[in-house]
Amino acid sequence: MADYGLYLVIIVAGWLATDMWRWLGVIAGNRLQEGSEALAWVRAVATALVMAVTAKLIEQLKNERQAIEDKSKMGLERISLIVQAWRNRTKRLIEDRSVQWWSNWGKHTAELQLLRVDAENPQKDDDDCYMLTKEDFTAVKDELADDFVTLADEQLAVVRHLVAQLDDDRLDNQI
Amino acid sequence: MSSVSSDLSQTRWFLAGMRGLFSLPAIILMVSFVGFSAFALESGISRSEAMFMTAMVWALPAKMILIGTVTSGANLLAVFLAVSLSSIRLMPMVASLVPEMRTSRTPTWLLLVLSHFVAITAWVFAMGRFKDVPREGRVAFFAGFGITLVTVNTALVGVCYGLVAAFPPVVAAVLFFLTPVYFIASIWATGRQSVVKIAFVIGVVSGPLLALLVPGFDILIAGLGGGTLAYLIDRYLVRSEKPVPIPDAATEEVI
Repeated sequence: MADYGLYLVIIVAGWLATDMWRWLGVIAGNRLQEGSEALAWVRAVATALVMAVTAKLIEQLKNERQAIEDKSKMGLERISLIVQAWRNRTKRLIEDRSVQWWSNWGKHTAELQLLRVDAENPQKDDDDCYMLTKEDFTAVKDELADDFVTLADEQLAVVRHLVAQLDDDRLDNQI
Repeated sequence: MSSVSSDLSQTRWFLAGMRGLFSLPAIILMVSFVGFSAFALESGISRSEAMFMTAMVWALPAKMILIGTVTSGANLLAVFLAVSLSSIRLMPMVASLVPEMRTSRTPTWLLLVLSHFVAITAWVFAMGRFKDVPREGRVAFFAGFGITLVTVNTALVGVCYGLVAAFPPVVAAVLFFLTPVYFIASIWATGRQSVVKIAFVIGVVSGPLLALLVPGFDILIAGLGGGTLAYLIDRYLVRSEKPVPIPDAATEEVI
């Protein structure tokens, strides 16, 4: 029943609502003589309408483009903040030698979790090290996976690059 | 002219119209309909409903509004009002097209049927191409273009439904940017009457301006008010200075 309901809506509020104007257009257009003043006016109205729609379309495209740019800029800023926090955190962990505890298991997950905490509390004093349970990691890992899935390819490439760099830094530190 | 050769030439113009499927505006429109199939899926509209909508409503903005209001849970009357308000522009578009394509023998029922295939793309295409088509062939030419475009896009919505999730934003932006570029180039290049060019300029300027001042009614006001203004400027300022007012109407009357 619900299925047929939508078809009815399409017929009444879709087909009828658009085609009645087309039919009125035929009736009006049939009375217009080529070269008449009335046709010149109708032509002017139709052209102004179409151009207004077109100009609005361009505005909309400009706004969408701006939105995409803003979003990706925000994304990059957030990532660089995270990476900065990541570095600090990792260095501290290494210094504390607590790194042993999580280095064998899901280290990226653990790092991401720590980063997330850092990123969400940027003002928070960095001195306290969080000791997290496996359950915490797993829960947050899924969340983060969702987060990072929405990143654009270009942003992911930046993240990967920074992660690679970070790994080198950490190795240097460990050695 | 015998009826056999007349039928043959009608078929020829119908086929010529069909070939319009491979024109730039038709291809851009098809891309837009691929995007529409993704939008329909996202909005919870089924494949067959999306196809039915494409064939029955045809005008893309009207369909977007239809889906938007239906999924927001509006009642039938509210949906009807929203869609019909957005579709008023179809009336002057059809009204300005009809005197260009009918002959003294064109039956009104045929024009009523063919008017269903009028939407912005078909209007711009027809207004641009009609000058190369003899008056006798224009109805067949438009029928060939319009029917093919609706049929192909209905099939396209059915095929692409569920296949294409979304375009990468950049690709979509480039493709959809071609639509206004085509409209602008085509209407300006093919506008034979001075009134069309004046209305073009007024429409381009007043559209975005009125969108800020009176959102919701901007297109209507830009069309009716802007069009009337363009007509008055043309009639009393531009044409009053020239001794020959309507240059190309006479040649078109001769078949």
